[in-house]
Amino acid sequence: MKKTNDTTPIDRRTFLAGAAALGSSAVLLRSAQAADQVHRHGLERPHEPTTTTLKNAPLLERIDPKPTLPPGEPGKDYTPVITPNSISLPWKIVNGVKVYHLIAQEVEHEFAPGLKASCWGYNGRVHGPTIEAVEGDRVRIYVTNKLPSGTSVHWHGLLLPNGMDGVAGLTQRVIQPGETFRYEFTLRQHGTYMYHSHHDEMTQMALGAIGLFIVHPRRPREERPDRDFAFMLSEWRIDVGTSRPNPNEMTNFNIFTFNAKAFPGTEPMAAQLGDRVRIRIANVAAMSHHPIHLHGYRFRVTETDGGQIPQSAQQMETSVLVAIGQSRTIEFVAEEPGDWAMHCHMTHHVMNQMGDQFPNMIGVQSGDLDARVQSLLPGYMTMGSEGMAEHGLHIESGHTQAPPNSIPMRGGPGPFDYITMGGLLTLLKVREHLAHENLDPGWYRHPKGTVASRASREDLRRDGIHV
Amino acid sequence: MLLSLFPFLFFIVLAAAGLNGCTAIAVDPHAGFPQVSQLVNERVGQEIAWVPGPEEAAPVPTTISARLKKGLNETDSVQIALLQNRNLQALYTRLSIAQADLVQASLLHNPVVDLSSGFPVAGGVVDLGFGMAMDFIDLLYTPLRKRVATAQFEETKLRIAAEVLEVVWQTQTAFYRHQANEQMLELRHQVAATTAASSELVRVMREAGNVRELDLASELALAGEAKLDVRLAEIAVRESRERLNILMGLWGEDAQRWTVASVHLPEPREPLDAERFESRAIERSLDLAAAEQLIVAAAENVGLDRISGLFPEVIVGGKGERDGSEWEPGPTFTLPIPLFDHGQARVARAQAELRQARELRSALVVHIHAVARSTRDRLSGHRDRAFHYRDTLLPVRERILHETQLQYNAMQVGPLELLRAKEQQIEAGVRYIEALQDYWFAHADLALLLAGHLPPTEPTPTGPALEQAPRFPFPTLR
Repeated sequence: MKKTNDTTPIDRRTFLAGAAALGSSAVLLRSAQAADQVHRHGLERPHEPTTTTLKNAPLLERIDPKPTLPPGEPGKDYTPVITPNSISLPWKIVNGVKVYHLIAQEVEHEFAPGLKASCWGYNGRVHGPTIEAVEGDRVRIYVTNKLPSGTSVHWHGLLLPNGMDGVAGLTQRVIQPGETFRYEFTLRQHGTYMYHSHHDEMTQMALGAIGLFIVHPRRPREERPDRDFAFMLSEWRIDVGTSRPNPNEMTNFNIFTFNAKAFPGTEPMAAQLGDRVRIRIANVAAMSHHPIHLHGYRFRVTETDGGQIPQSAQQMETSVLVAIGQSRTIEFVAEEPGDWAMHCHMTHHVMNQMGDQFPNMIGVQSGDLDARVQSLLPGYMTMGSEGMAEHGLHIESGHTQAPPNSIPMRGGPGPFDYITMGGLLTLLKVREHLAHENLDPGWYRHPKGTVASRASREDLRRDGIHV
Repeated sequence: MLLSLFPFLFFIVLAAAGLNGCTAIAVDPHAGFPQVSQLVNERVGQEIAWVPGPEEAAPVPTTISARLKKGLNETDSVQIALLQNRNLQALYTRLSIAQADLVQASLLHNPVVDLSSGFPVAGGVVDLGFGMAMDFIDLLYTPLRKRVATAQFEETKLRIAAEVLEVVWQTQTAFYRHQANEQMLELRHQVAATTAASSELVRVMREAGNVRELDLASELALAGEAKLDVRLAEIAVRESRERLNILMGLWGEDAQRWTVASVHLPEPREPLDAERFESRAIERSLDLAAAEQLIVAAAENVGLDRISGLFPEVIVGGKGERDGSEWEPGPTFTLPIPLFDHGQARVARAQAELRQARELRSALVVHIHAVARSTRDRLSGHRDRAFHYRDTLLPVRERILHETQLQYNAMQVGPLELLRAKEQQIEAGVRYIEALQDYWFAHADLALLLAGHLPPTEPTPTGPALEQAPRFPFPTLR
């Protein structure tokens, strides 16, 4: 799982520490200038409109001009996000501007053990690394196109000058292969946003040219989270035995991913008992909305992609529907230890490469048919007459041979049995003590008597249950 | 007096008999067969036998019985046909007929004895007459007639050898057909098993409530048709088997017992040296040699007609008449005067027949060249086709089946698709056998052509060759 595209949490932390050091040194150098700027403009809440010249000011936000604040520092101004299975994009500060460099390119990506495909992403990753910044930051993002086709990048949900919106043809020229474009704007809001190609969208987004854009508040209204996880949902069509997502698919998607990983390829979220946990979920799938359900907790929906929801309006939920093009942020306090599933509640979305052409075999009594067919086809056996639960395990064990580079209906091993889910499934692992922050702590060890198990005869007799 | 006539007459008859005796041919019921046997043997490397026996079929010799028991190959079947085919025995009797014609042609017309008497009404002695005459010019014509008949006999031998070769060809093609039919039957059984399995599968799916009645009915229709295909394949096997029985002259238990050693048609052989096909076909053509004998016969016929037109007959003889008590002997001589019919029509006819024989020979040469080229092309075409199936399509179908099995294992396609892939793989096998069969038919055609006989245009005759009209219309000579 932790191969080329993945970075262990320690790696990520190391990286973030480095990035923070880079950031803080720049801040030190430019501290006088920044202090001056703060002094002159004051620390306004950039997400609230300050211009009152328009009649409907509260609804119609003017974007420019806005003050640019000194670059926000990780650890000081915000708790950096954890993007499971991914990292945040490195940046540097040049004259008070956070400078990023995105390289759009083809990437060989592993969705889960056993399934790799040629995708389009950024900086060697699919999806692209998370861009992380702070409200009031001035950001300058270079985009180099190493794809075989033209591209552009749209900063989804961000308030910015029209010419920076990244819609090829409409607000800018297409970035031709080999060209590098510069985008620059000041972040006026905070929340969970995205970036994605806005040229030949159907192809480029279906192949993975998307990423998360997290803007932290300069001065949060509420307590900062201890764990801030970010996920991007997407869906793919990768026919069994092929190695490139099919962007022409319109309805039949067979791989559903958190941060471009399908279970069992998804890295779990690790939290310590009592942690304040924030989970950001953004969705730029092609066709599917995803009702994401978290086990074991009620949570508050604190943000939409439009911004923070006033505390009085935050709803308590166990599932949050993240429609296409939307983001939702949920928060809760991790007060119940265990291994908790978080997954899309659409059942086909927790299944890897399901074959929707397979006939309904439920309840079929095949009798001696298998033996007869085996004289023609030695490897034949009737499948699916009791469902598909065993199937993934058969394939995984090699008992049933499937085409190479495929994970048809594969799930993953669990502590008790084979987990018959794939796709949009990840785990929240809450522990009293985490030996290594952000590292998978392994399977939960349940206190005695807290695991469902076979009822004893004595239980049944006592409670008058007749079976 | 009469005694003085006898020596003269006796001399004439004796001289004629002597001359004829030098040229006349003895009747030999097996004449010509050794030459036919040799011609066949040097061309196909197998023996033929002429067993003039009882009309009813003779029991199969033990050597043949032994061959039948161990499973037949193509060479065995040809050898058995050459030894057992009753039509061939009938064919060889044509040698006897032709030889009898030759003997007949070499014989002089018999002398004619003429007796007469006169009874005087007014009384007196009875008049007696005695005469003996012979067509003396027959002595001259007999060698000519014999030369015509000899050429005809030669032609007969060549044509009989060619027809024996055709029986070899018929047996080979019948054998290939039977092998192919047996293999087709095997494959048809497999298709039927596949469709039976798929219809059974749909039936249990229907029982589980998972598919429509329509789906079941469609599968049952496919399975039903596959069963009919098995029946058709069985009929074909039965027919090709009986065809071989006819050709091999088998009946009774022997006809029931034999099996083929292998139901698999052999793979195509390396391509033959195509360059020399045409010249070899011409060099070895028995048809052409027969046509040449017909030209010889026709040319001899022209000479015969030319002379006999002028003097159709010259009758020489002697006679004696008793006038009173005295015999008056004297020679006789009869000669028709060619005043109106001096044979011009018969000569013209013979000359036209000669021209016809020459033209037909030329046409035959053109024909052999063309058939050699087209047979060679057909052979290499079907060879390529068979190899294309063997090297490309069959492996691809095998791969499709394997990949479909993997997709099935991955539950991406259903069991019916898998069984369809199996069916298509079998169908590719059927088409491969068809290509092989066409190749071996062409091979037999070419072998026949190079052995010296034009292959019949119809590749699979439904009756023995002997019942067929000659493909090359040889003229019938008197």
